[in-house]
Amino acid sequence: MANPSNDFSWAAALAGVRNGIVKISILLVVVYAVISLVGLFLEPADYRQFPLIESRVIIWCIAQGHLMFGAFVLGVPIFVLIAEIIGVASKSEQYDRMAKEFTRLLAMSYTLTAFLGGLLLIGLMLLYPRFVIHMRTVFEPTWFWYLAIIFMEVFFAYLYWYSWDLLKNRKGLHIFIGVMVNLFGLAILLMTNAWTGYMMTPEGVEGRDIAITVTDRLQAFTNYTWIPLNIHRFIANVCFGGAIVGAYAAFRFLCAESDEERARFDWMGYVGSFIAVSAFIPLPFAGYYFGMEIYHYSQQMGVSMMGGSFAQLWYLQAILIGALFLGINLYLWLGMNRIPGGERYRKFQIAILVVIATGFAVWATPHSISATVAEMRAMGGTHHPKLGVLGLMSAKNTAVNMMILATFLNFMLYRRGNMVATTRWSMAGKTAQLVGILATVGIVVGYGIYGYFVPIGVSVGFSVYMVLAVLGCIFLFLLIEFPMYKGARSLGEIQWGKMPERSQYVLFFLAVSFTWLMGLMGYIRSGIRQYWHVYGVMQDTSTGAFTPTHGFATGVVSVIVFVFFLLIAMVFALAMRSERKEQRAS
Amino acid sequence: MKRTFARILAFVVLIDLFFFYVGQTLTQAEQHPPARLAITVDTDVDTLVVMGESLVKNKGSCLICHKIAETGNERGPDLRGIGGQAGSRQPGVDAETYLMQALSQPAAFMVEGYSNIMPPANKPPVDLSATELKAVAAYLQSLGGEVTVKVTPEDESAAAKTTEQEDISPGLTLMTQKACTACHDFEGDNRLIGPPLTGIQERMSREQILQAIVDPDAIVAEGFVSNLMPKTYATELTPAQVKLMVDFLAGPEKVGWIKELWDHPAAQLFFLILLFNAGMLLAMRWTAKV
Amino acid sequence: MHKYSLLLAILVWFCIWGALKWVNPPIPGSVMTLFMSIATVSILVFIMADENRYNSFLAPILKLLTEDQLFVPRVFLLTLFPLFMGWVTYERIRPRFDPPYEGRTIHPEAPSTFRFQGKSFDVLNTTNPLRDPAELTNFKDNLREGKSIYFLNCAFCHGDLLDGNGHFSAAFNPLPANFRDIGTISQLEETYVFWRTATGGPGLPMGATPWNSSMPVWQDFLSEKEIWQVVLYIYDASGSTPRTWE
Repeated sequence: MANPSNDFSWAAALAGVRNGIVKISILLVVVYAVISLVGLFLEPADYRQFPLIESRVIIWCIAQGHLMFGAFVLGVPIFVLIAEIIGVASKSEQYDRMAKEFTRLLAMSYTLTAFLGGLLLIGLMLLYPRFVIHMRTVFEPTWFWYLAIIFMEVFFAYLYWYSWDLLKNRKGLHIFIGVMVNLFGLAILLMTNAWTGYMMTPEGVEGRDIAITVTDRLQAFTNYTWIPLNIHRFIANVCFGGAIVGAYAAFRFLCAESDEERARFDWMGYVGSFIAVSAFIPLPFAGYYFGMEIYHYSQQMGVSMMGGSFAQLWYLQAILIGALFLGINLYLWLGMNRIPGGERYRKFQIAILVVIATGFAVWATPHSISATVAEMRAMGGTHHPKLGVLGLMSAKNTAVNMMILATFLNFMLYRRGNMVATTRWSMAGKTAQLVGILATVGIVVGYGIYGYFVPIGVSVGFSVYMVLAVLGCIFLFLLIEFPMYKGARSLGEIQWGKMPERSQYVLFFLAVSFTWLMGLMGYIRSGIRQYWHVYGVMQDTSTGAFTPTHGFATGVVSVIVFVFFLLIAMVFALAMRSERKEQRAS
Repeated sequence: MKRTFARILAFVVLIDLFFFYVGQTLTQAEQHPPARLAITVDTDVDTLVVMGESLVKNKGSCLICHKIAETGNERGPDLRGIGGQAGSRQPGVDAETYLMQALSQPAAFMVEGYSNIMPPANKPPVDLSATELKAVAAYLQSLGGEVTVKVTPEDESAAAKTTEQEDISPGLTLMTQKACTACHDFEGDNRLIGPPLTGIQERMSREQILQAIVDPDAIVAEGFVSNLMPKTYATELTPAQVKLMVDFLAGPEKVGWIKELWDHPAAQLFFLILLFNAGMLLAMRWTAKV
Repeated sequence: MHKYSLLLAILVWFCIWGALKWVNPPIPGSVMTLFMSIATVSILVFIMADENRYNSFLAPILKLLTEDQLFVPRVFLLTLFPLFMGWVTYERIRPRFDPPYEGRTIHPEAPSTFRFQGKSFDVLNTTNPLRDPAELTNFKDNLREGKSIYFLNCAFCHGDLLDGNGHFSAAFNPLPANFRDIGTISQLEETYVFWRTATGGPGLPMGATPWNSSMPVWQDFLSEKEIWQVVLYIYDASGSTPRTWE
């Protein structure tokens, strides 16, 4: 990565952009050359076996890695742009600087994303040629558009980065470039999701295997799971991007040599985790919508996702989510230590922790309890009379809504940290907030209990009321909160950087857990197609068509996560080096 | 900094391993795809009928000429009610024998008003195995009659010999699935409904083969009538599929390498890249002057 | 208070453990492990959340590990801890007469169709014909029929009270389903129950392994109508309603 600040000229910036484009071009040419050359020496086949490792596992790892980096480079520009706009609107140098800091991470990540994408293409073409023929039949016209969009995205992304200082005084133009980055990013997302969605819920084609006729290409593109996948991945990208930049900030914090640096990265880590958590809250609802669409397309697929062989992986997901909630709250509490006046809210810690821990326990209590025969005898059946209650949907909905509410409240307390409300009606306002919260708790728990007395079909619908109650409560709370704390008296500045080291490890914990969650859910999404390349249309007849054991699958996910963090460490190191250079130059 | 890095890495690995461990505590079972449909002596009648139906619709591509519903083709006899009629078509021949004969020796008996255009179902291109023939016969009997067909051990051993000979060329698979093989012979010199395609690459160029697929009546081979081959392939097949077929029929391309190179996606890709890079260079020059 | 962080933490841990142990019938070991892990992590989170708590929590541990005059207890602890872990490991792997843990999917996915007495049965799009408005006039009769079928065939295992506690129930693993449990048939559609009844233990899919249900294949003994009648009866008599999709 060339350094933009050595020379504040457009020529240097454009050279940087050109380098980016050239890099991508060379990569594409190399990918094509490899595919063509290796293809020449291989016998024609439907499937080819990768040496030592199963073809499927290779593709799985590369695809997931590509997806993670892709999520990162598509997610980060979204909040970078927002941060920049906030910086312009509030004339705050700090936001602008942070936005630039985040963008620095992008430049290197683009290369890695493209590299993994190239590997994925090579892998698919060489290991799954027959499948590629199928996809080509359906989607070939979109491929060139995709390439063109990639070029545009790379062009604008590099331009966005290299022109940061050059357009210092023309922020409008720079923000426009940022918008373009996001627009093309969105286009990439829409296109790739159409392909993935098609593999799960194919439409618009007739026939089987490669003997298919495309009756409606637009329908194949905008298939059942396209929209939910777009929404789900868009939100998740922001969430993931936030978690990773949080980890970057934590890394820099731990390496920092001065208090000033520590303060800067402490704040950055806080912002990163804040973004991740805010995007994390609506994610389950998007996932619910996604699941509904899967059910609508094929109940069989839906049932095999939630009730069949994949049911057990949701237990692992529950543990990941519960751990994330604990981690988020721990980070907030640790953060309160650096806020003068934060100690006033320490007394709420136990209550919030109890809600979170209980919620976690309920959320993770399996519906199918594994027990020895002796234990089952003692329980009087395969269901524990008391725990069985916790295994049902109603209890889980209640638990997760309570966890969300408690975390939200914790964040509000954090926000109040050093503030003392001076508005005259603050007492009344706080009472109103308390009433609102109690009412919401009443609704959530009430519906949770009522859910046991109505048919299950009805009680599933209750989750909507619970969610609406929680979201409504959050909305009303904020509606009172902001005017109430307007012009509040401060008990002192937040002492950024005054954080114990373990808080930064919490940030790393969040990043690893988010990444792991993504790998796991990615596996479930792809795995529920079972032995189909394209569900119901093209069957996977290779030796790797079976669904592996959960132990094997989680093993692969662990390896992917580990390798991802090794690669991201490289990105971090390069970003640090580029910053050092920049500092030395100026 | 190195120590910090090592500590973070150790921490990351620890969390990773923890989640991995939780994954190991779940129930471990592999789930394999259902076995390929195998017709054996033990296959019960209902299953046999279901399998036969699938063979008629897919592998056998019978519906190109026959129909089993109100709409459909009638190049061959209507199959509705065949189960009931089979026993009385030929005097002295019972339903099962008649059906088996109609499948494997279609020329032996002609239903009035139809000509001898059907390829034997037990030979390539359709190439049904002995057990598959029984399944098809069972299905046909189920159309208006009682199913008496039974799979015998002899069928089974005969079928076992013919399996495991699948062709892997996607072009040929595609052409089999599109039932080109029902009218064209690929391996011999038989004049079926259409001309044999054996050695076609010596007689026709790529372009001619392409034209013959998408616009079959443009040139009709000597001794064959026009208007017989469907003209729907131009719309029904995608360019990629047509190319697969042409590649299979004409073999590797030899002529017109410049044009061919240009048609190749790689060349187009290269041009796209070139265009982008040239644009970038121009923009740089321009800004350097400004 | 801060001074006793470590002590309090241990105390709270044991309190939670005691409370969970007190639950009757006893909580299965796997869930107990889960709950106690959550409790442990939560307690640690609480301690880590505050600097004073954290330091006073660590102080006695560090003291024990570093100070000279605590040499004896240190050696004692450092010997005891590995021994304890060794014992835990031994407990886990030593041969037992109990069958091992079996994590199971209680309600495995149903196939979309299955073969019922020679014809194809569509699990997804069929509803209980006895609940058709036209059949409702015979509802009482169907229930009575179902009841007699139940007591002639099912009650031996599933019990007179439909609580899975019949005469033979003690002989089976897994135990016969308790229809009065909120987690069994009220979670399922009637067609699902029909499928389980008709195909029994042998009809269970691979995805639900390990499954060794000893339920007979009832389609070999009962007619389609009879199975529907008995399904109707077990819902009615256990006071549960079948699941329906919105």
